[in-house]
Amino acid sequence: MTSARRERDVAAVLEDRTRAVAAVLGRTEQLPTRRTSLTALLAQAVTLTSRAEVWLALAAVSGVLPTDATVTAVCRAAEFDGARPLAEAIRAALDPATSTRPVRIVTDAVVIDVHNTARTRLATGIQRVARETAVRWAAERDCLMVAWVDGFLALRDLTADERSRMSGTAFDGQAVAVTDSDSPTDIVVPWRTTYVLPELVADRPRNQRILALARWSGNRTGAIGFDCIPLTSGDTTDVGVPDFFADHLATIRHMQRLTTISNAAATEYRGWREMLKGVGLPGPQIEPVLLPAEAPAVDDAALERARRRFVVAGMPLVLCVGTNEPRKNHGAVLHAARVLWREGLTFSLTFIGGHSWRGAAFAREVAEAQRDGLPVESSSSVGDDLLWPAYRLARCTVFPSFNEGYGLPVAESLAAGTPAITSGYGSMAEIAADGGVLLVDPRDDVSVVDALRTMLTDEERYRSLRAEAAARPVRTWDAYARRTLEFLTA
Amino acid sequence: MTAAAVPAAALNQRLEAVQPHLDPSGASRPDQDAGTLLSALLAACRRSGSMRDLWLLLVATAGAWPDEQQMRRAARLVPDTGDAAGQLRFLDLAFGIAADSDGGRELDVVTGTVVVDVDFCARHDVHTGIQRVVRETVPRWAATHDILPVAWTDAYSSMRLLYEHEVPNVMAYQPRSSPPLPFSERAEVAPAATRLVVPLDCTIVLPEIPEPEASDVYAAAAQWSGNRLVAVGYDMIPVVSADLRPGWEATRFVRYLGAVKHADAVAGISRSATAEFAGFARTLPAQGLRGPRVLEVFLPASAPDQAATTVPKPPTGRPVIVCVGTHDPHKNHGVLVHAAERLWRQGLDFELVFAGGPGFGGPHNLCYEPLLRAHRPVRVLGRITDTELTALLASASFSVFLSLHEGYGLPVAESLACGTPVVTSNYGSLQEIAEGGGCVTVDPRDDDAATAAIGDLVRHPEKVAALRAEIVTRAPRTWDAYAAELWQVVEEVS
Repeated sequence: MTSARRERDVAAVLEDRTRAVAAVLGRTEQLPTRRTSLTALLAQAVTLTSRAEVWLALAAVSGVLPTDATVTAVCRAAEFDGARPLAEAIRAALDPATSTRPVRIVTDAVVIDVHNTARTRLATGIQRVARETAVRWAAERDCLMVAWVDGFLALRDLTADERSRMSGTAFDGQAVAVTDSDSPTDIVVPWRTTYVLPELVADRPRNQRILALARWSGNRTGAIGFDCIPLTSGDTTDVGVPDFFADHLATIRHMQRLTTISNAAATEYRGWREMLKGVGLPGPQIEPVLLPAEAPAVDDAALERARRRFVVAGMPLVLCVGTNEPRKNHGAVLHAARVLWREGLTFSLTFIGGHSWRGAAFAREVAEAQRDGLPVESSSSVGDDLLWPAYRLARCTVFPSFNEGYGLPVAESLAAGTPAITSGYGSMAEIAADGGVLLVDPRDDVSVVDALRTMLTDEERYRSLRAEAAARPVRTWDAYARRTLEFLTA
Repeated sequence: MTAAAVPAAALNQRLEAVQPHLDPSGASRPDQDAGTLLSALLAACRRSGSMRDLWLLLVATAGAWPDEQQMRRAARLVPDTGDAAGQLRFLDLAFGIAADSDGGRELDVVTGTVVVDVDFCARHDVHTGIQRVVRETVPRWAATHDILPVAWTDAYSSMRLLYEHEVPNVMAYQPRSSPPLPFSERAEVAPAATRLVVPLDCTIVLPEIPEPEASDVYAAAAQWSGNRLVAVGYDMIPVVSADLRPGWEATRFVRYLGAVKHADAVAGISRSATAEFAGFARTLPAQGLRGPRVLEVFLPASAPDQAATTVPKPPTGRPVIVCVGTHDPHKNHGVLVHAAERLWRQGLDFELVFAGGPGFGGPHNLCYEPLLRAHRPVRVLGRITDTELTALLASASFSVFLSLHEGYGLPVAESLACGTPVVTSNYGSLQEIAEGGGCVTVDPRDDDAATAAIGDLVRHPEKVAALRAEIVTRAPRTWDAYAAELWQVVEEVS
């Protein structure tokens, strides 16, 4: 293909896309019908003083979502030079990944950004929430799930693989490495609709483009807020995490609505919103909706497999689920077990959860306990098929974390009918309010020891905790998805 | 003394230094070796069950401060230190802490005083916002109160006394005419010159933002050492306006917040800094913590060069508009550039002068470049001395500072101190300074409002004159008052 030919092809694509923008803005009739320059077309199609319309033109004509700085710079330059700077910015943004793909301007659906969730078979807390919720939203009304083009240039339709991954239920813990260029789908540009983000964005370029969308596009925008741990317990997170989290906070400053997964998470985000006095912004409206926990049915065969895997010589099983990181306070759990073993109690202790940042010291402590002949193990990459029966087999679970947006292992344990020990504040106390829980002060080893002793030795108390756990009202994903969608699109 | 004997002797000294605080009744024999002494001190810790005692013993044993994890682990080891195996486990943990430190040093326990961490000012010849606060405040305190300025060892594993050559950097600072020597060419500090400081029943003041390693161990000390912690809160730019920053500051900053959340009090330097730290404190009940008391001690406004006695006289001729500050994105100089271009196109006549370094993005693609290409009357001075800055501000018709996020907004205060009115932002610390008079405030995100405000002052010199008259009536705020009010906060927690 000659360069002149390629130039003509690009010009044709840009003209078609500009006409699509004009159509959405109701300006088709003002457009010249014969071929003309991009600048002349844009001058008729777009109100250059409107940052929303300039955002739309940049996004839908170049096929690349603009950043905050680009929208501002183009609008300012347009005051002196008309549509020429816009045309130049569009040409400068063109990228082979999107310059020839169809661009669809979506005006009539809730656009749900599930990029990370659709591209992984992992089921961490956040991914589980995003998947369970987005799929239900999509079934409820006109919702469109989207992901990002490689390099976070633009939003696009999901691929068939990604759609099936979203509706899947079994996760084998494997990440899938895919590039979207293998099976390119349409570019999606949301316009005068609602954009919802049910996951945490960990990439600076993606955050920057969402920020500009939230600030300028005129779309209503909202997100699920999980916690502010990288800010409020940042000393317990990995290097770099606070940085992308701070980018996330900068982005959601410009959103209208944020639904948090607990009152505790709302406390954190509301504190953050107070900080925005320093930048003169109001921040989003914040409403907590406590996450649900539904335990799947477990058949006898699965229970038997888990029994063979976890139960040691018929001893009661104490279960601690969660990644091995300092914030989860697993050291206090192991310490409590050591004290009680020394007192002569009989039980085994199993930690389930991957190793995480600064988990090495804890791993050494577990190894040391094993050398001392104590019945303790730490196992990672345990799938749902073993986890759920393990919850049911356990005498109790222990989760004295310092800070949680929700405390999923507590909710899951209780949904499975197994009493739990957890921290007496924050989201963990919220979950505990419906019963089946002994609350402790995670900063006080003695209180953890006492609670575990009670679970293992006080049969009467234990029976009443089991009864409480069984009597807890069931909070469903259906109800959660309905309430959050109502709030985010209201 | 052999090289190996130095750390062993230092260990002995450190354990002896803390013994009176852990085991006052235990007789100290001159021939006592470290092993015997440690065993006795561990027994004292077991008896008291006090976390303060444990913290002190860990610091003495390791010659370095423990972090939260290490404190928790040590607390779980202590009950079993009655035998040699248990003591070895404790020593193993202490050696783990010492492994990240920079060698065996001797220590001094200081009690019942106010310890002020001035590490950065002691080490560096930088003199911008935070250092100015330290160098104005700490010498004033030292003149009237009993305080101990301290720094950290090079590994940031323990507090230490200032070296003699560092004292003037804090107490009698003079900007150097020549750049400081690079580290490799500086005189070696003799190992014996480093004396560790262990505060006990003290109030520790953080007028600087400590290094991340120091922050981590401050978090533990604030919880368990029994010392009180007071921080000066400057701003939360790294975590609130990260979109306008380079992308790596938050990881460092949240380690500082890890110490702040266990502090007793934070003194915000402005209304907005106070709102930011108070907002952070409001997040903490979610993790079962109360957080520090947050209150405002408003910074004073003073001229950049206090030695210069400027007599502000209204400039004549073509109005000069001055903009002071780095070209970092959050300073938002782009709005001024755009407003200026609009006004020149409207036929207004004025000169625009920028003073300040390029910022973290480096010297390319700066917002004023299109103006230079268009041969607009623009001067770009880059970094200038305080004396030059004072002269520049005094010569200006007015200055413009439409930053999106400031803990304080020194350029506004300095302009006012030079008698020059300011167009600035209508929220946060900038609004707060403006309320004293002599300023026009606008929404810095609104190009039209900024243009109107700047254009109005160019067109109407009488309005500038009225603002100048307002400046004269501003209630003066002095460093003496600031130092006294901040000391009040320190006293209240002590």
